[in-house]
Amino acid sequence: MTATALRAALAAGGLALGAVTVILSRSVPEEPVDYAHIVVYIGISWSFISAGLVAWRGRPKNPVGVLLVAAGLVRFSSQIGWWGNGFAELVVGLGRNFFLALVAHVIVVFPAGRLRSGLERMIVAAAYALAILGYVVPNAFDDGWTPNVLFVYASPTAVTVLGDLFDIAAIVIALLLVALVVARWRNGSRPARRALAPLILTAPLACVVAAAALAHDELGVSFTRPVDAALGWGGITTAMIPLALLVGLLRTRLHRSVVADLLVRLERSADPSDVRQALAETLGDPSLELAFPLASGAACVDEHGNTVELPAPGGGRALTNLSDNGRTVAVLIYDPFLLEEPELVAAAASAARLTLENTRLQAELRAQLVEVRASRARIVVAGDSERRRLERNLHDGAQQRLLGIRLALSLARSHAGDAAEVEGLLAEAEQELQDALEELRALARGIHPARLTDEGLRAALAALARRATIPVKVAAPPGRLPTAVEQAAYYVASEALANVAKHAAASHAAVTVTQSNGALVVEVVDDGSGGADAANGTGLRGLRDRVEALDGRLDLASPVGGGTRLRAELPCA
Amino acid sequence: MRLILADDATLIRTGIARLLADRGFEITAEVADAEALLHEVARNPPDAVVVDIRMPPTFTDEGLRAADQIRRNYPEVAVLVLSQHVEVEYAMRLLKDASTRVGYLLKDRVADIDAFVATLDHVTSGGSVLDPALVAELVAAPRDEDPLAVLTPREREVLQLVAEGRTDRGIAEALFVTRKTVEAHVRSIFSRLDLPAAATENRRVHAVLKFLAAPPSSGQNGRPLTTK
Repeated sequence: MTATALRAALAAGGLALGAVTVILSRSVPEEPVDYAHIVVYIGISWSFISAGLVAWRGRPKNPVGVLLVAAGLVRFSSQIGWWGNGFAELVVGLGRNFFLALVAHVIVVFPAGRLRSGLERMIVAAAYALAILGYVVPNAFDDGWTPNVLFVYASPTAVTVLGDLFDIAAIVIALLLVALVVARWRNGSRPARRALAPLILTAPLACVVAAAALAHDELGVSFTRPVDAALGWGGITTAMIPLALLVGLLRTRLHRSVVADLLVRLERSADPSDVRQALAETLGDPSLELAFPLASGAACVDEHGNTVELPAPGGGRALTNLSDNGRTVAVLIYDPFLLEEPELVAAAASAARLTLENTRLQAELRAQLVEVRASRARIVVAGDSERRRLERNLHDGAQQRLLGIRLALSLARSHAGDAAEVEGLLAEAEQELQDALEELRALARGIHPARLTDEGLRAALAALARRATIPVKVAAPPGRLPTAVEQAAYYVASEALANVAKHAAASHAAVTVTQSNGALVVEVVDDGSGGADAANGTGLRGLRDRVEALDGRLDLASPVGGGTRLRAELPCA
Repeated sequence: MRLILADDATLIRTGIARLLADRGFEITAEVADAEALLHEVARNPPDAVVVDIRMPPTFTDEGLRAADQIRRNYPEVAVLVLSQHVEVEYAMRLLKDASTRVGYLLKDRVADIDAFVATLDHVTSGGSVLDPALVAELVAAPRDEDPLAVLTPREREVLQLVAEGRTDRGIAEALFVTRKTVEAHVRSIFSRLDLPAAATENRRVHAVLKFLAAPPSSGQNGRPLTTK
């Protein structure tokens, strides 16, 4: 039998059972027929069965629908009344209890249909255990009615005491359910609360009413007269549960307008990176993230092009792959409670598909840009450390070695005695070596200013100014910054001053270093002839590369006849 | 005279040792890093130490820090610091307190053994020495409203020699003038530059150095740089 046929059979069976119930109710001669109550209670059963069947069809994998149908079916039995047959009576009694256990089960597992924790498993298990034991155990001692197939030993005290204990346990479970639902609501995320809304609106009230009815009917607790009277109709609150849950499970149709709004919004939006925000709002999940698999397949990036890790399965996040011709366009990462609304997620995602494809392309571009920038920064850093290494090698190698030779020559000369010619040659060799040493020193300093590494930007700039050809005012705060920033700032000043010396015909220059808003600003100004062009000269282009590799910017203002101002802004927060 | 040499470059260290031994110096220890230097000084304080600035482990200013420590703990030990290139800031650090028994030289100077021996003698007898290249750089630095413009060319020469740590007698010999003339020049220089006139020969090195090294800028430069 297919699921559809099974559901049809169950629907027909439900209707038939309703009719049978009415007939059987009339067949009990001792009691007057209370049609109002019969209609209400049959209505309760039917509401469970019909809501369950619709939910079952809409969410075949979710057991909530089946549980609702089962509850509705067993609910009939509690209305059947006295049959006079021992086994039928057993079915009726157990059915009455099982209805309550099934409702408890539904309340606990809604909306996902799964038991999530040990506590939830315990509550559901206790509800079913109570359904069986609460009927079987007291009746084992009850000889007050026949034919009681469960009867073992007559003890009116045991019947009363055990019956009361089981009723109290049932009340405790009802109140636990209230606490559970309220706690889940209070701790829930926004999508979770939306999914739980049907439950929080109906279940706590129904549980409280059921607990009060138990206390009143079985334990003899009396409330005020109107409350006692109302409890007689308290089952209506239970009937509201399946209807509310059905609305909750099949809310998709209500979302159509939301998805339409999303479409309009995406169409108007110029920036595809808005798509995350739009989807998050449409799905009511601010935590929603997007991941775009790169064409290289190596990694995923977010809408800004930054690398993101996809959460591991079962890690508290839900994933939906959006594919186009078998290729994943985007991955939606969201609150697992949205899994209860797959139609909404699917509709929103498909509405956003085109924009997402755009966003993916842009994200891929951005990712490439991020990588290019990072590689440029790496190149600059590698170049700097290579220069530092060269300078160190010159210092420790060639310079020391040459000096060693000079010392040896010096020693040889002091031992050369009177041989004037030898002494002359040695003196000449020493002079050659001395010149070589001085050239090497200047070279080492040009390759990498050891002073910058050792003493910082201020000292290095002061030294630069002392060696300049024209007066240079330096204003720089003391203190140290990251090496890359210091290097870039130093080379900006050094290159600018070199240009001033070569081209500007200036009489004064000034280097100003300031720090504000997380950026270091280096400004080199001269009063020369101006007319410098950033496009000319490898020096300035190299500087721009260096500055931009640090996400900074370099500006050149050099009107003809109006001096030159080179300004570099280097982020260093 | 008893000396300790500290330089991680063996070639240089042994070269200097042999040159100085030839000149009758007693090299009591040769070491390759600052830690060993401090250890040897503590074990057997010499008359002077010759120390390279850049030594292991970081190859920045280990020698300078060792020099500071020796000068604090063993004021009777003269300290001559050698550097591959001259750094004004290092010189300032070395000369910041009392400018006695201290020298700061380019490493190449050791090859001119006569001058180097003279420098060692000068330092151990209580004088101070600054490398001429450093002084020349300071004096030649281009400035707006050059404060040295108030000096005569002769006085500039004298100032340079004062900064190098020469005594009045040394300056007199270098310039072929009498000591009295040098004293007059120095008095004139100090008054024209508005420097404390009572400076002794040693203190005046520091005073002149400080004057020359004042940054050619409009002054203090804001709050220190920070990284967050």
